[in-house]
Amino acid sequence: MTFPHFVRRAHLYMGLFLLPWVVMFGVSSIPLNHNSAPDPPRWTPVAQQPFHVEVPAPGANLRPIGRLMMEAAGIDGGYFVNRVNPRQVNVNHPDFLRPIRILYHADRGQLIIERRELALRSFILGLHTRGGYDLDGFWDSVWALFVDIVSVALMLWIASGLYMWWHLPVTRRWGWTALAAGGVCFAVLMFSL
Amino acid sequence: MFSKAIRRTHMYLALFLTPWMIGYALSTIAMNHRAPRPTSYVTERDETYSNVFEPGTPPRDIARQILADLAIEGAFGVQGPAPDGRLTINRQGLLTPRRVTFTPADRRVVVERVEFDTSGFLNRFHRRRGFQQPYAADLAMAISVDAVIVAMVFWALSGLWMWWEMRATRLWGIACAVTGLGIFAVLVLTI
Repeated sequence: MTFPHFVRRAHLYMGLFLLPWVVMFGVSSIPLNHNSAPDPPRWTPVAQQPFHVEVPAPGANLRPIGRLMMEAAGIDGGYFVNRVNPRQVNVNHPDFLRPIRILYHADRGQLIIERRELALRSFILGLHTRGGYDLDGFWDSVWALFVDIVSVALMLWIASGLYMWWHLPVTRRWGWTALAAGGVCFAVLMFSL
Repeated sequence: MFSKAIRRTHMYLALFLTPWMIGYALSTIAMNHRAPRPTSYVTERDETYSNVFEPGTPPRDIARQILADLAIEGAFGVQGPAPDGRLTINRQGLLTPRRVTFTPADRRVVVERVEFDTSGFLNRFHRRRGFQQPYAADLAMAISVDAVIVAMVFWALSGLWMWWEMRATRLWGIACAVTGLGIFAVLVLTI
């Protein structure tokens, strides 16, 4: 196999393997770019139970109390945690289809577990915005790894695409025109915003 | 002929949108490895502002006028007024975001710019979208985001078309596509 042949095949097979992510990131950008006031999410109570832990001070690490709340609710996986006020801490478990939130009301010593039913817009936005290795969930890190893989693949598609274009001499003039026009438009945009 | 048109469109569209795709790839990596940093400001101007506004003038109108008077018009958000009447205007520049603080009591306006850092710039680039702001540059950016969306879907569909025309690649192509789709489906349905 020659190098140009390898580049062509890598461009193609990488594209086929990552096709769902490419389509997903493209389509899920539509509601982000054309954002309208979404319907408020509907949360359905699933359970509530007594829970007694001291609310951390402002600025303190909230991950430990978040982990305790997840364990008390019997939920495994990644989570976000935020301190709403000195009496309340919220945990969000970002399940793609049916996310869960856990509300801890310290003054009542109560943990409320709620689930949000599937909503198309939220589902699509969740696919686009989920990422990062700091959610403390194994599968969340796997998802983040694929986000990295897609990003690196984008760079490789660009590099291999440029290589393949350069090996088609008949397309050079229009190729240069497209490349230069894109570069100028992009630069003007960056400096105008 | 049709096949050639698909191939050429796939390629020229990619060449034109190369800067956007590099921007989105790099910013996605930066956001996926997020490391929050405190924003540091540098004071650019601290001066008297002579314009007076009628009581009840909406904060957005005041902010727009101040930005115009300072010759830094563009997309912005405004906070306030605070109990002392102070308005904080965030001028959402992509390369140089600025914070403008207007204190009507002493007619002072302070302009601070955010010190440039690559991660912050990539973050702002990735999140810059939408048709809400009434400025031409923001409209152009939103249109370019739509162009990237259309291009991504087109690259996927035209890629499938070109692959299917290459009989020698069908077996491995199906293996790649099925594996990718399977992993994607499992992840979406289970996490």
